[in-house]
Amino acid sequence: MRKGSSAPARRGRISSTIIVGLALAAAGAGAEELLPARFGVTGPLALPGEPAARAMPRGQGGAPVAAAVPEDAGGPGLTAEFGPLGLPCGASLSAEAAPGGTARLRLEAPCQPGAAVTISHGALSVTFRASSSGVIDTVLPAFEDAARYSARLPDGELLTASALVPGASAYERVVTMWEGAGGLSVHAFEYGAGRGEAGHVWRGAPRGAQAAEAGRGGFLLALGTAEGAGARRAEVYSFPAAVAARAGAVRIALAAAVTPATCGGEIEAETLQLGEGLPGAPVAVRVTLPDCAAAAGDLMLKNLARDLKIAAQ
Amino acid sequence: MRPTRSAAAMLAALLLLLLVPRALLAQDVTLTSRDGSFALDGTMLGFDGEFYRIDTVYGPLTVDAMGVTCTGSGCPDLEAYVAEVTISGAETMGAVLMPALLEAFAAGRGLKAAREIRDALGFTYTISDQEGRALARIDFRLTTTDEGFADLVAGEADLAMAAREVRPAELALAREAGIGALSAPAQSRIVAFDAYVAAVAPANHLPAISPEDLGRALAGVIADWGGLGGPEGEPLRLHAMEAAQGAQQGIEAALLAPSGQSLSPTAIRHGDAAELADAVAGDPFALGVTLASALGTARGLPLAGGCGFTVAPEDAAIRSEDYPLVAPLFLYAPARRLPAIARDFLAFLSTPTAERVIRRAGFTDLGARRVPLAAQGERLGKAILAAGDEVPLSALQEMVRALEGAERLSPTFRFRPGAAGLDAPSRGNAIHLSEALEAGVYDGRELIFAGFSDGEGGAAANLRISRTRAETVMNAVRALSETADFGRVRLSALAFGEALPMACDDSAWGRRVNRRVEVWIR
Repeated sequence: MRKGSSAPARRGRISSTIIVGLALAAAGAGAEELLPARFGVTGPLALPGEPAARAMPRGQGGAPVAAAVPEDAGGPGLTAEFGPLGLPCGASLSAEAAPGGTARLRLEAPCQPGAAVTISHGALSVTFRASSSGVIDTVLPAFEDAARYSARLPDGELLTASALVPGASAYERVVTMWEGAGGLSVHAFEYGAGRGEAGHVWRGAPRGAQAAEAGRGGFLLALGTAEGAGARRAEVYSFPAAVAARAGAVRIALAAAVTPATCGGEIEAETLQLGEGLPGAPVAVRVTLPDCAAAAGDLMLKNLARDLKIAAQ
Repeated sequence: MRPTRSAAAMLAALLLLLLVPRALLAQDVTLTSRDGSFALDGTMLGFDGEFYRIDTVYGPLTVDAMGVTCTGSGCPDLEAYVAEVTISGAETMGAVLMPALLEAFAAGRGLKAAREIRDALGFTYTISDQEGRALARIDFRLTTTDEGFADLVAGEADLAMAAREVRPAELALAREAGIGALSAPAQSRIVAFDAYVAAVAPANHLPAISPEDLGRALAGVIADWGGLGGPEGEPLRLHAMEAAQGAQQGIEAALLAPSGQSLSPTAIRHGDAAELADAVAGDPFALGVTLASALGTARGLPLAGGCGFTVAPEDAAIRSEDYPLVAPLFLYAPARRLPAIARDFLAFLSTPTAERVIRRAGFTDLGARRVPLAAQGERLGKAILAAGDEVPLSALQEMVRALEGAERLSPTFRFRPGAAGLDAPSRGNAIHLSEALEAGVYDGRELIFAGFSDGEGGAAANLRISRTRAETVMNAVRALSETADFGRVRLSALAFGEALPMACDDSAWGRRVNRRVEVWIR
């Protein structure tokens, strides 16, 4: 068994801390060329040694590290060093800024095809299914300009990556998260839009980050690709409040699907609202769904999330 | 240790208790003093984490749990104690504002908040510590202000959410029920301000509306946009909330009742203020009165005070009540000890964090903002134009000299119509200002209470009245600020009579806005 990141720091690994420290200082100034990549990872930057989470405690500010790769030490032997496609087994996570206050994340775990990987960012935590070649390529929101991400592999290994996403904190966010099936979906009604109209942003009409960059309004990310009981999913609605050209409001409703499978039962989820410099903490929500005699459809919860008040900038 | 006089008296009372035959009610607990010298039997009424409340032959008694041991079937488990708090009343407060405040309160103390939704009108928060141990269950019942007071009187709620002040009949019921004087500062507090706002679509270009015209439009007397200076022959589509909504009652009380009118039966009704605002926003020929917190994409019309004065329903004007249709949101508590976590939550409501949460939820907080003299050019310009026989230019010069280098603070004190007493928002402001004084926020500064009057009557009499008002308000704030150190902050009162009007004196509205005490800081 490969030792996970939970193993205590050992002597001889201190140097990796220093390397990460150097990378912290140099990143953003062409650090990618300064440091040698290892394990053949093609990401912008790969660091050997202890997972960066150890060297760079969470909650501490810092310049971005594009990727960190844990040391492969303590592995079962040479047979585990290469995956089915002949790639070295070392897993890596990289993050880079993407439009709309998001980051593009790429996880490569050649020896863990199809693995369910939970990627976390602040209070957000979502499970993705790796491809048959062990790759996850996804976009996650960045709640801060200096955004840190971590990925937990099924074997317990923890990878971290950071990205500098200028302007990420200019977005108002409405987040719902849940485990397994069901959950709460976000419906945003921008500037008085009605259901099904152009300003109604939801999973069925998510718009895109480019629309937000162009000042056309918000967009929705439906996150999570893994199935099964423990798999976590999320929806994130982002609105560029700090650069909005028009004053008005975005009304937010959260919807729970009432189906023959869910009616009369309960659903559990978490909600989180971020923006305007106020710290947001996730709130666990349990909703009792209408009994099965009532018509199926969405149970719209209008007051569970606060509406966004937009001032013209 | 020698017992103190009060301890001796209590001991005597307890000994007396032991000599009296036991009551016939079910005695389910016995509280025994730590040294075992005396015991008290009774029925457990409640436990708030610190104190037992038991019913004895002498009526309900409150006993410090630290001083006694409890035996019997009614004894609560001290370790597993979970505070139970029920908050009932106005939906406008309970839907978004109170949950946001409670969540921020929990997050600020490192506690976890979990919300369980029963139905559209009820939900429960469980507040737990980091280890997952539940500390409190806070139950919300969203109904109406009326129901909130009824629940409080019936002992079914610990806090009532009210979108209006308590009425005399409710005060009397509360006193009869033994829950004290709800209007007393210790039992009521204003959490935030909302405001009634005339809403039109963004595409409607009406610049402003007078309160009188708004009343006539609500009554259906003005049914055409031509009557408001808009396009002739264009019917005005009137929107209103359901009659049961507290906000709708408040709107009618403020805009229709004074002139003896009632709402037009043709008004299109909506379930709440947000629904009304959204409907109006989509129709350029619609008009409705909604809440500032629910305005959404609709445009809030400034109120025209006559003589060229208008005031927009914006945060600064609502905060200072210069906008006259301010709707304060109250919490009322019974005169009994609330669980510690509920008391802490109430204390949290006047912190800067709570003020930010209140603003973000779309309401106006009670925090004081500063407005420098330089930013008040319009009002000064109007005063100079109005100068004449009653208020000579020299009086204005004197005023500007007296306030030079000072900034106006947003809290402003206004009075009940036809009465000397402060109105509800002003009493909230007085308490908030006294809390700031006690906290030393204004140490090293001077607070000037500047009295103003309307222009009815002679200038000399108005100057006298405004001086009395300024001194009254100053003394009231000083009396409320029990722990403030007045060696560090100076309070003074000045009077300027009718010198600086904010609205026209030819309407009751205007006169009410003009009769005020402003607070300036230097």
